[in-house]
Amino acid sequence: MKWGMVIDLQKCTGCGECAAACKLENNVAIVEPRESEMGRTMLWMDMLTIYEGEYPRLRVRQIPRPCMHCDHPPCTKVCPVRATYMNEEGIVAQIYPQCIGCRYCMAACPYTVKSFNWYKPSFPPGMDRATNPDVSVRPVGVVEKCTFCIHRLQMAKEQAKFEARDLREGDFQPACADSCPTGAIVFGDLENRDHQVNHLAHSPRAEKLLEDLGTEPKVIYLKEVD
Amino acid sequence: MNISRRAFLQMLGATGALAGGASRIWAIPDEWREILRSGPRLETWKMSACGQCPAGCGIRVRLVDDIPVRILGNPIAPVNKGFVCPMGEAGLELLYHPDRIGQPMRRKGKKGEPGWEPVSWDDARKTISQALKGFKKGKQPGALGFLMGDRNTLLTEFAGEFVSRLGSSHFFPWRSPRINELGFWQGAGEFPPFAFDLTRTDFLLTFGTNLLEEPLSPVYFNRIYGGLKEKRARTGLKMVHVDARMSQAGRNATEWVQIRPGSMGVLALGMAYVILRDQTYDRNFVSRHTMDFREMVDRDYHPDRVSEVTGVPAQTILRLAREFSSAKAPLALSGGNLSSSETELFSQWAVASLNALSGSFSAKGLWREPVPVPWGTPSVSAFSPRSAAFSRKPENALGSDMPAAWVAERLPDLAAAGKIPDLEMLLIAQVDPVFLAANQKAWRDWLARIPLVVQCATMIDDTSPYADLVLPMTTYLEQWDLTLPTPDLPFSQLGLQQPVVSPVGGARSLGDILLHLGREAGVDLHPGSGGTPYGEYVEARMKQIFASGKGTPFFEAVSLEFLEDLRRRGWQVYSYPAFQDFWRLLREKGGWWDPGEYPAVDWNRRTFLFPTDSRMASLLKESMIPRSEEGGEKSAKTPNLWLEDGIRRPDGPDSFLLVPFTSLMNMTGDGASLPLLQEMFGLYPRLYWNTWAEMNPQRAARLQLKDGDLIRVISGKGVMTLPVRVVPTVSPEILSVPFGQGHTESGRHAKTIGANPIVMLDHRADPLSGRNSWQSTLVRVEKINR
Repeated sequence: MKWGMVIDLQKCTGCGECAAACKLENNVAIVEPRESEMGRTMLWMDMLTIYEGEYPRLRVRQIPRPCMHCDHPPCTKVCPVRATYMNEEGIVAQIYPQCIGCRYCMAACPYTVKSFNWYKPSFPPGMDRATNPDVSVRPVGVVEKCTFCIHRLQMAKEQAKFEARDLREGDFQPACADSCPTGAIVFGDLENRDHQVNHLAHSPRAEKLLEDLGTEPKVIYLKEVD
Repeated sequence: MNISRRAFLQMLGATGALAGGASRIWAIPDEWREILRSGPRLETWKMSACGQCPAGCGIRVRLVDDIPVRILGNPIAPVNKGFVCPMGEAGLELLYHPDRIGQPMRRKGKKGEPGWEPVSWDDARKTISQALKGFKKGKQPGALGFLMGDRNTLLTEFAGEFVSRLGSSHFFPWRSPRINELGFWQGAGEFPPFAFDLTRTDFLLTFGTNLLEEPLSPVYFNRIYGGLKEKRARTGLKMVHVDARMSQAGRNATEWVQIRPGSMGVLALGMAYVILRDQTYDRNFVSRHTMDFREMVDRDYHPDRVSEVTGVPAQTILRLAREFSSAKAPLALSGGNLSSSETELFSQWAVASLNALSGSFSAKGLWREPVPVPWGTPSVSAFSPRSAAFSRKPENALGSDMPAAWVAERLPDLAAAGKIPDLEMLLIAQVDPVFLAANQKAWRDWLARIPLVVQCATMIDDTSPYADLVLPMTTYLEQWDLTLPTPDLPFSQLGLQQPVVSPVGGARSLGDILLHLGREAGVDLHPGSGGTPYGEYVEARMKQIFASGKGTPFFEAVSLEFLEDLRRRGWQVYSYPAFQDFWRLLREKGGWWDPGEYPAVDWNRRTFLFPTDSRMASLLKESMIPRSEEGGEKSAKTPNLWLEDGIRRPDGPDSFLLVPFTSLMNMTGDGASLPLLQEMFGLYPRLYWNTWAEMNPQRAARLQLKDGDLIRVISGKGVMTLPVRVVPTVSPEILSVPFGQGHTESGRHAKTIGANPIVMLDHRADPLSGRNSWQSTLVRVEKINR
């Protein structure tokens, strides 16, 4: 089993709903204006904007960017305390209590998906009540990033076990895939031939970000054709 | 005096909030925290309808131990089909906002100065009802005004009824016009405008219309755009966006055409010129409905001349016109908030004419009439430009009057011109005119002159310092209401807003406030109702729907054809023998919808016949071309001559045309109060909690500006300092600034963050529609050396 994600840029309109849903689902702290100016805003799902060509041939590509959950993750190799590792299902996970906050992994990640908790996670007043009770809030001094909504996987597994069956496609969807109005984000088991992601990952339009680094990302983009 | 602990905390919450964010005491029950910590963690879901914008998306709210923790989309709501936008996601931040007021506030100092003292509901009601009683007795007819942000809910209609029963016609709803609304109103007297169906087009031409970032259900249109983008890879569907700035609609189109702001109508008529010359228009339509359109276009809209006015190369005009006329089902859209200019109405009329030429009104399934809600035609507020009088009229009988919503922004000007009498009392709800209006100073002065201004608001906003009394209002998550169908969409729906939690603090729903106030003044808007009368009113209105037998509560998606088939055979999806069953289903499913009579379909030939054709009788007549009534001599000239006055060009190396734009993260300006949206606001430029200015690289190079440099933007109205983003997505003539920031109040997250470009706008209006222009202010830019 190898969890992976396919993002179809031909369908994506760049609305940013995935980024908003991700923040709320995972209780990602809101960074106040002053710290934000220092580049400390935390987005597990970011939106990259790329300008191609010049007017009148200008095209703007908008690319949602979660953690790539690489098969050869550069971040795990530099972690001195094994606070970040790849689990047996291919998810690059974080163990927050183990993290010493050295930020080597942040420097190593070519996709800059990791963010550091510079402060005790303080939600703006009132916001702490709007947090998701299924996800723990990270303490100060640790690195965090997209987990493919691993808490949802755990709940889906429990439900499947309770119903005495295997996990089905669609039982487990991260918040971004769940909230995408255009259905551009598809999630599933890359090794399972019955899963849609398996087919899409072999599409001629499939490409990976910074593929030549050999990180083998498990987030695959289907590029725009026009 | 006996004060309970809770009341004391609420009072502290209210005053603490006003102290400027130093206090961390909220106006919501403290028991909740304990429940969340140690409750049994019972999860429930409640269906409701979103109230962040007028689109009326269905939402389902996740509650843990009866406390809302997350808002998601209602999967069976036909508008959004299970999805929400970032504004919808952030709804709980509004509910839990620390600066929400918990009890009525009376202003302490002079008008315009903040400083409040809490008063009891009884005192507040006494003050208001005394004034209202005077109006009821008919002492000063028309001296009562009500300015209300129209969220496209039943409440707007109800509030209008409230005002007219008190003997006044001065009900001013405030909303931005819908897509094509101005053009159709002018061309065909058509109101509400026709609905359009994007999925059937093979050439989509949007004149500034940004369906993806406007409060017309961006979720619906993002979903549709996603589908169109996928489809075009297979079918060659073309999507062309014409605008001075490449908005999301432009980024998702196949082509973006830069144009000078305000000149879109000229481009549309330039295309009409080519289509007429090529003789590729719908002859049947044109021979029946046209008089002198052709002569006018031939005379004034040669592509070379159009090119000179619009800045679009003549070749592009030729190509666009030929692609448009050779497409099987071309669709041109105009309008929306962003295209407000001095030539707005003319432009929309021109674009509507382009649709008429292509013949898309008579067939092809692109346009259809909005499906009416089966409870009789609602009354709306109308404004007569000739007599400058407001009145209440049935919605589709506006005639030569225009929807009052178009002129709400210009009320102070109308008052100054003596066109509305001096008001004795003004109620304001759900809108923040001092923040939103381009003529801020006029608003401030006007509000300061009205003896009693009462505002209903969830928190103190920019308008509040000019109110004498502020009443705490519930959010959409704590109240009953019905969201009405958006006329642009090809189906009808009513979203049921029901309280997800009981009102926090001392807030009350606006419907209940109005009902109680009315009763005290001797007007009962819903006789025989009890403690939450507005909820009962909503239920009573749904009884009318039940009695009509039309539509059904939301259900899992099936195709419209299948549904039509079911209907013909006398089946329906749910069975509800009594109203109580119907009502229970509504609360469970989140609303009612009606896909309408499926347009007359010839099932053998699969052609769709629409009745829109016959109602476009006056679209292509020069005699019907919009003319200014105030224009005097100018109105006698051909339209394009006076039109050119409204198309401005920069006049120097440091001169730009200021063009504010809206973003999905803060479509209405209210989003600035919510921290999630403050962060999301800067998602694309990576400038969070801030306002920026977008400048074309050519101009930036000439001014020696780099990305991130600070600039001073100077207009006749003011100065603002902004970081500059050098991007190729704006035309060289404009400086584009996002709208939504720069509040002076509106809670701690919005206050003093960013700048408001609307403050900078010259006060110019489209003489035909009376709407303020957002695109005709020249500014100068200076570099600030750090």
